Amino acid sequence: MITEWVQAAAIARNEFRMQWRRRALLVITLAMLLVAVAPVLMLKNELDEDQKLSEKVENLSSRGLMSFVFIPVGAVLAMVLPFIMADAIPKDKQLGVRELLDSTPLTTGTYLLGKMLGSWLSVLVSLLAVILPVGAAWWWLIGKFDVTYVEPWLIGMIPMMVINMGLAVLITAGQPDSRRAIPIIVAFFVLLPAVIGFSPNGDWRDAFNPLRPGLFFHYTDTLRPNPAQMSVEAGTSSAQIRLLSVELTIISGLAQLGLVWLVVWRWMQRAK
Amino acid sequence: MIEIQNLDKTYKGNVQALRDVNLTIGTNMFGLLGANGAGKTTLMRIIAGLLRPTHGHIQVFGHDLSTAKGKQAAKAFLGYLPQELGLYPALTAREFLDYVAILKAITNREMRRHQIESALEKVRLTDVADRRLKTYSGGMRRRVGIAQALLGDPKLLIVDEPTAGLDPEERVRLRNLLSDMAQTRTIILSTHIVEDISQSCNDLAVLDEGRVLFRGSPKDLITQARGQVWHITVANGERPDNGLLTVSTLQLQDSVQYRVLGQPNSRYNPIPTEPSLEDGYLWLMHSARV
Repeated sequence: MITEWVQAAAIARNEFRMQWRRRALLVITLAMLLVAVAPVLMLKNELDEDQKLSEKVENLSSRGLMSFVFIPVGAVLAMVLPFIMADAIPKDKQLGVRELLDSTPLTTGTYLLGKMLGSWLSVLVSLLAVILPVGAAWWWLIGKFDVTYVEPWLIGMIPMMVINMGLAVLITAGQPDSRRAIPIIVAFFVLLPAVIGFSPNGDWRDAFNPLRPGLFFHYTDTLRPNPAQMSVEAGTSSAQIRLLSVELTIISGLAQLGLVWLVVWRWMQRAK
Repeated sequence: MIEIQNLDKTYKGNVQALRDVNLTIGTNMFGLLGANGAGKTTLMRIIAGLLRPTHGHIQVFGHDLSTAKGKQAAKAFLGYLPQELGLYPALTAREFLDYVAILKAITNREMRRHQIESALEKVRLTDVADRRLKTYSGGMRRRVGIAQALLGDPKLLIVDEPTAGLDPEERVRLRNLLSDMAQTRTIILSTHIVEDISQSCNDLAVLDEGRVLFRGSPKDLITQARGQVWHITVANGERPDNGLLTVSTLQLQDSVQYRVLGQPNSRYNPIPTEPSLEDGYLWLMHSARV
């Protein structure tokens, strides 16, 4: 059992190393950083030192940070990064390494787990590489912000990262190269959301939509002045409905991940 | 010990790659000779547990490869160099070997480091081990492939065309390395370069169209061509009889000297010559086709 974990960790480390040494993830991270830094610099010029201290500015600063930084980063996470992670398994076949890996006593489950851990680690570091410096710059150049605003974002983004990156790795596992993996990602992360659609108040569609709108809407609701005072439907506030939608989205996302894992694992076992 | 019984492999489209192969391979170096498409790589991949046979049984050191458990157990002491080896271009040789070593279940860091250094030393890549693999030449990549196959001190080493792309000096070094290792383990060497076999194997099989055409020692294979190898010299522009198999051609000043297999016409004044392993192989293949 220890050997399997060491092997999975080695695959994850290798995947992380390769993702970062290739240009794509680095370019996307830098692009996200640029998009996130721009509003900091623009706002800095508009505020003088006295204004920075006011409570009003802290509120404005918090909302600005959430809107201008975290929403675009979340959108990249949902729609762009799956494309980068899609070749985690096809790449092994494309490079001709797979035959070598198959000649080792590595089990299919360990291989899949290692690939998924690697994609999560790569994306997590990419997100942190954007959020931490931008948060620090914001605090230093604009003024302090309400840190608790980060919580709903993390609640949304961590599950989205786990579910969507995991699915991106698994649904492309049967493809022989990166080129063939891309249409699968387009179908799953672009066409399927368009077919399923979004629900403005949170319903079953949120649970099946690969863009996980339940997580996004929960976050954007937090940005509104007072979620508790929002429209009340049959005695339940929309914030509560959203929270239900978040739970439903996470549970159904993890269930999808588990199901796809099982199918891919069985298929790879048979192909061996 | 590897025991192969009644092995058949048919690919999709009814392409029969192996037909009723029966072999027993013990400790030492075993050579697999055959033309391209003869079934060598298919047989190697089946022994390595990468491919399922259509029919037949195969046991590797007592482990039945028809079961998942047996396959997993056999892979624990396998070193494998595929014909078309892929590497991660973004990794250095040392990183790649470390990765493969962990996948081969060498989890002890110190042991891994020792084995990696030893393998790098054997293939003479220590000095460039921290360079990314994308900067390596074809021969260097092949040597990385050999180094990874040596990790874990495998009891069974399967090497498919190991000398392809190596310069003559490296080829000799590799042959010597494999010969040394073969004293205590089983090495299966597949190649279409007859010289590699003649210099290092004392047991071999020749495959043709999926069948074992010959099984024995290099000496036995050479014997097949005894009395059939000749040197003949003809004038420029003239060619020997169609029935003869030309092994080599040497352009002289005003004539051409041929090394041929068969029974040449006496008008050529043929000179009988001692057969080599290549002659034996070519005569065997020629006889099988005729």
